Amino acid sequence: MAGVSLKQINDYLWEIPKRGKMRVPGRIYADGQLIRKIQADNAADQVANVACLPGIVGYSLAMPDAHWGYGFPIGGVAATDPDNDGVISPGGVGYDINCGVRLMATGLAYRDVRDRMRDLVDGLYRDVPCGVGSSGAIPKLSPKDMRRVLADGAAWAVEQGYGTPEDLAHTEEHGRLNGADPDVVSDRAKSRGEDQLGTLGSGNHFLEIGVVDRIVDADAAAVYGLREGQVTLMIHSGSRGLGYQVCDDFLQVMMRAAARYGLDLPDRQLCCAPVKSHPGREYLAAMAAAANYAWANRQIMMHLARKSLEQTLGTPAAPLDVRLVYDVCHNIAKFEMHEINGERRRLCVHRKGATRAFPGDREEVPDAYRHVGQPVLVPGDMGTGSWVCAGTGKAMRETFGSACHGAGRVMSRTSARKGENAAALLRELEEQGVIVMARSKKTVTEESPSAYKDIDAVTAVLDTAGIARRVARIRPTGVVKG
Amino acid sequence: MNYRFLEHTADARVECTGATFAELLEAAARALCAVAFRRQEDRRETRRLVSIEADGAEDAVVRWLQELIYLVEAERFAPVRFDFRQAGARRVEAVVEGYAYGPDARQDEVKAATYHGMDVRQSGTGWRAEIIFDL
Repeated sequence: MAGVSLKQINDYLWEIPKRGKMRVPGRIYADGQLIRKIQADNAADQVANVACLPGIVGYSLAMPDAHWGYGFPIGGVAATDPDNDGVISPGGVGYDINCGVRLMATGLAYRDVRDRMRDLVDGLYRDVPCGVGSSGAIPKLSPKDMRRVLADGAAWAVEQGYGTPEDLAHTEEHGRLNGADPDVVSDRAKSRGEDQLGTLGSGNHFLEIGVVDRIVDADAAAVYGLREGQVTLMIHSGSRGLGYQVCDDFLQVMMRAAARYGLDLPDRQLCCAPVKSHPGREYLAAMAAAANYAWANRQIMMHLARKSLEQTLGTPAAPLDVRLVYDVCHNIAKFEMHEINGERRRLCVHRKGATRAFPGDREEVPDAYRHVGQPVLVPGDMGTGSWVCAGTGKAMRETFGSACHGAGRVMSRTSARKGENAAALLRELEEQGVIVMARSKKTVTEESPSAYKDIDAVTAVLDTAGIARRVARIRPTGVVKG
Repeated sequence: MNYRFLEHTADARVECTGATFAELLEAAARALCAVAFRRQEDRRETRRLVSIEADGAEDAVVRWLQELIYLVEAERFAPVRFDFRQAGARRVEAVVEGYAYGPDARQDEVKAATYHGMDVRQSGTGWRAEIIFDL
C-alpha cells in the first residue's frame, strides 16, 4: 500500500484515513519534524498494511520512534479481537521475541565513582559476554533446565541464585508469561539457546552505566527510587538465537495457515492465523516460551553486572544497593483487557518496538508503583540520554496502553558507517564523558548518536500527547556494546 | 559479485542477480556471508547438505537463506562453495562446503532473511531478487 496520505489531527498526531483493504485507520504520534523522518522511509505504508489485519480494532498505531521494519513498522502497535476473527502475527512481535530493557538503580553517587568509570566499564565488558554469537555466561543448559527456563523465565534464574525475588516483583509479568509450552519450541531453537543465556548479543543491544541528570516528576522519581546524581545500569537485550528461530519456524507455519484461512494480506511478512486457531495458539505458546527465555537472559545479565560492580569497587553487595526499577519488553503480543466502544474486551495487543505504558490503576502494575503508573523505559543513543517515563490513563484510551521503545533509527547502518570514524567517535564520546567499549568498530559507527532521532524530541511527543509522562532523564557515562 | 547493498533504515537490504536461479541463490548466499563475516577464507574442510521444499521462488530464496543462517549462527559454519544438485522454486538441494570459523571471524549477527519487500523476478537477462536481512 505505497504512498499513503496523512491527515494532521493536531500538533503531535497524524491519521492515515481508511482506504483499500484497511479495516481501520492508521495513527502516527509525531511532531512536525519527526513525521517527516517517518515519511522518509516506508513506516507509514507499513502502518497502513497492518491496518489490513483481520480482527484489528481501533487504529493501527505508530509511536514517535517509528521507522521502517519488516511487516510491522518498528514502533508499531496493533490490537486484534480474538472473538471477532482477530489474528496473531509473528511479524507483529519480531524475530527478537521479548527484546526489552531493564533499568537498575544503585546506591552509588556519580561523583564518587566518576574516576573509576573506565574500570567499571572494563569490568562489565569482561564479565557480561557480548558480541556476535556470544555464549558461555553460565554453564550450558541441560535439556531439563532448558524446559524450566522456557516455562518459568526469570523465576528459574532467581531460583538458581541469579538474583532475588524482589527483582521478579519489578519485572513485567513477573518475568514469566503464562501459556508457555516448551514442547512447541523446536529442537533447533533450543540448540541455539542452550549456551546463550546471560549474553548481550550485538547490534543495538547494550549495557550502560548512566547518571540521573534531570528529574521532572519528583513524586514518581521518588517512588521509582531515582534521584539526581545517582548511578544507574541499563540492559537492552532479548531472546537471542532461540527467539529468532522460534519466529522463523512459525513464519512457515503462519504462511500455510494464512493460505488455509484465505487471509488476504498486503505483505507476506504479516502472515498470521486467527488467535483461536491451532497454529495461532501454538505460536502464542512458543512466543511465551521465548519471552520467558529473554527474561531469564536479562535477569542473569543483571546478576553478572551486579557482581562485576562489586568486584571492581571491592565493595560487598549491600552498600551498592543495585535494585531493579523495572524490566519492560518491547517485542511481544499479550492478552489484555481494553475498552472498545464502551465495552471491555480481551484483546491481543501486538507491540513491535513499542513498550507497555499502563497507569497505576491497572492490576498488572507492581504494587509499589500503583499511584504513579508503570515505569516506561525509553533508551536513546549512546551519546545523548534516555528517559524514564510513567504510563498514563490517556495511553489506555488512545494507544492500548503503549508508548515508544527508544529514539528510533533515522539513518541506515551504511550511511552511519560512511559518516563516522570509530576511533574519532570514541574520542569524541569520551570528551563528552561517555566511555564506550565495543567488540566491533563497525558497531560503534553504526550506533553513532547521529544515526538516531533526538530522544528528547521523541519523548516530548509522548509527554505532550499524554500517552506517557516524563519522569527522569539519564545521561550515559559508560557503555558496553556487542 | 552479483549483489549490491541498498539503503534501509535499520537492517541490511540487498539486490542479488544471477543468470540462472542457482546463480541467484549463490549470490544471495554470498550477500549473507558479506553481512555475517568480517573476512572469509577459502577453506573447504567440511560439507553440509542443504535441502528445502518451497512454494515459489520467493519462498525458495527465503528458506534457502534460513538454512544457511542456521548453519552460520548455530553451527558456526562458514559457507564457501555451493554445488547445486537442484535449484528450483519448489525444491533446492545443494552441497555446501566450508569450515568451522573462529571467534574473530564474525561481523553482524543475522537474525533472519525476511519476506518483507521480497521480490524475485525473472527477465530476459536472468533472475533478480531484493532481500532484507533482519540484523
